Amino acid sequence: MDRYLMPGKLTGMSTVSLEVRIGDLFLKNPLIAASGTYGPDSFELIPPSLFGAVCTKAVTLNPVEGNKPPRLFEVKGGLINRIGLQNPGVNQFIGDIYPRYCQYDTPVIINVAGFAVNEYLKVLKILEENIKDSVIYELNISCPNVEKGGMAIAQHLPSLKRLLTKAREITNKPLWVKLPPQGDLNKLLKVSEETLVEAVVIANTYRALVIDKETGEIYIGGLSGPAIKHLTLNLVNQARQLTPLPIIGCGGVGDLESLMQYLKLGARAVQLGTSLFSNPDTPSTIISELTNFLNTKNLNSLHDYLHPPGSFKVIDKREKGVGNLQLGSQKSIKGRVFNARNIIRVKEIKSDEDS
Amino acid sequence: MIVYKKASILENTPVGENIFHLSLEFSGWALPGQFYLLKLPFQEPLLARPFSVFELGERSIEFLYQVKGVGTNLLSTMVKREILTLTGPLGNGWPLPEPEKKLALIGGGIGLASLNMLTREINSKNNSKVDLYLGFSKKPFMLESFSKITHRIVVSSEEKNEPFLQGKITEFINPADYDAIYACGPRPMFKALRSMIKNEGNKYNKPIDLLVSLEEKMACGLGSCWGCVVKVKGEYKRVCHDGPVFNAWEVDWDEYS
Repeated sequence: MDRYLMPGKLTGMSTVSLEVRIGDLFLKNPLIAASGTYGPDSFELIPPSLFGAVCTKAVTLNPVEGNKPPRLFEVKGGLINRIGLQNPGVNQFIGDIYPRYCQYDTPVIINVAGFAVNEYLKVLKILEENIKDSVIYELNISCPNVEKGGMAIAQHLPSLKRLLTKAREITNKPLWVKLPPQGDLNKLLKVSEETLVEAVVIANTYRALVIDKETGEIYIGGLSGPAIKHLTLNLVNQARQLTPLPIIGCGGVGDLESLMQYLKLGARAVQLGTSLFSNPDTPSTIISELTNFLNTKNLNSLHDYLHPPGSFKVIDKREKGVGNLQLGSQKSIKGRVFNARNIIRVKEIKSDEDS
Repeated sequence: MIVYKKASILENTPVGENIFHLSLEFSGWALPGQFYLLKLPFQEPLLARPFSVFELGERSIEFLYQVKGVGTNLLSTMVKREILTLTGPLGNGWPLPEPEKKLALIGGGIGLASLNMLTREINSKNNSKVDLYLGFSKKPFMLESFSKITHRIVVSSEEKNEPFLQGKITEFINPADYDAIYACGPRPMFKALRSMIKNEGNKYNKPIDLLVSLEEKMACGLGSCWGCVVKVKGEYKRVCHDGPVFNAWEVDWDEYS
């Protein structure tokens, strides 16, 4: 059985389960290292084992040089970056970078980017041919720092639809889409649902402008950090009402409070980025605070806190998305988490008993 | 091993115009030329900033900093027993020169912080001959500390500051006397050095190595975010991870300056 699909096995040392489920994938906790902010060179200080999953820096078909510096501007409450997807290309990723992730048990999310739909698809094919582990793919259609591809694909819905449909044909592995914070959220979510992706990541950095104090030059980049948290919370709340797809929140998470805000609004997990820069202890602090919090509430699991017994809501079989594996399809029975398929069966048995 | 640790201030005193000497209670390690990220216990600045290690004691670590922006302004008001957070040691640091080589170390302004441990290390372990050149725009600082570890020291100031030489430090160095030159300072200083040395060997007709320690704005400091890059041999390298010390002949200076 796939190591990521074993409920109850990923709880680690803690007696409290922080396990969350995204589609039919179980993560041992709701923290994910966001793309571009974390990588093998961070492992020594921030081990992957702290996270429910870790996301790689964007991988493109060919090597990308990235933008000419300056690439970073700290602004009030946030950081504007304009890295420009610098990476050595998919082949070197497979040869040199991915193996460094393999030494850990933490699920790996490969962030796939491109400058045209076909490039994304070629990257996926190459990854599929070369990586047999059960990774997750996060399609990055929201990088604000490249002229072609990235956000441009999200702005052209037929292209996005083609990308997601074809991507689904290429792989059976979980496909997540990292949506831009700016754009027609409803349409983006509908396309994501129709094309059977497993989850949406809401959102990427916000396209923002900065004027270099020293030179007077104007630069456009992506804004991240505490400054965007309430903007992205709003997007997650909107998305929750628009789609049954599992949502991963990404924007300004730096403490337990912000994690709980995202979870309360219906996100299944969150991604941490800029907070790893300002405080590398962020994931371990959140995990220990969350564990303490649940202990003081006498709860065995994060799931019990988010879905107190009795609040279980059955969503009947849906035509779109990933069918049964959607909203509310999780239930805690004697402290164990059953996946959606089991729940359906439990429901059927219960109905039989009722009749 | 890279650590992320709290450290309390032992001393934070001005040693020059807008220049402070910061000493923290900290048991750590660092190679000459490596740096730590220092994070203040405030919401702003959001990110930690890189500072070269000036000196390392058994239970202390020392930095020099110049008050430039919001962060260093706040830092300059912090007092004994207040707490900072350190991440490090980071970066590659200076390579020790081959024995018997003749070496010039050039520090421009606050850039001298990177050369203190190196000078001591070479003088105590290595047979290289080291001359130290320190250049200041205003009044020189921290000379006492350097004079304890080397006697071969040339000091200049762009302002008239008796008894020091007046002018830019690059005016007082003869590159041909050396096998290698290590420099840390402002960008114009690197430019001057390069044009002085370019295409010339030393007096033994050997090429002169020029190593420079570069500065860039950083976010992660670990090598993951690719924010602090500089173009080296045609591709962007990370100052925090691949540097901060680079071979000057491989750096694309048109882009850097």
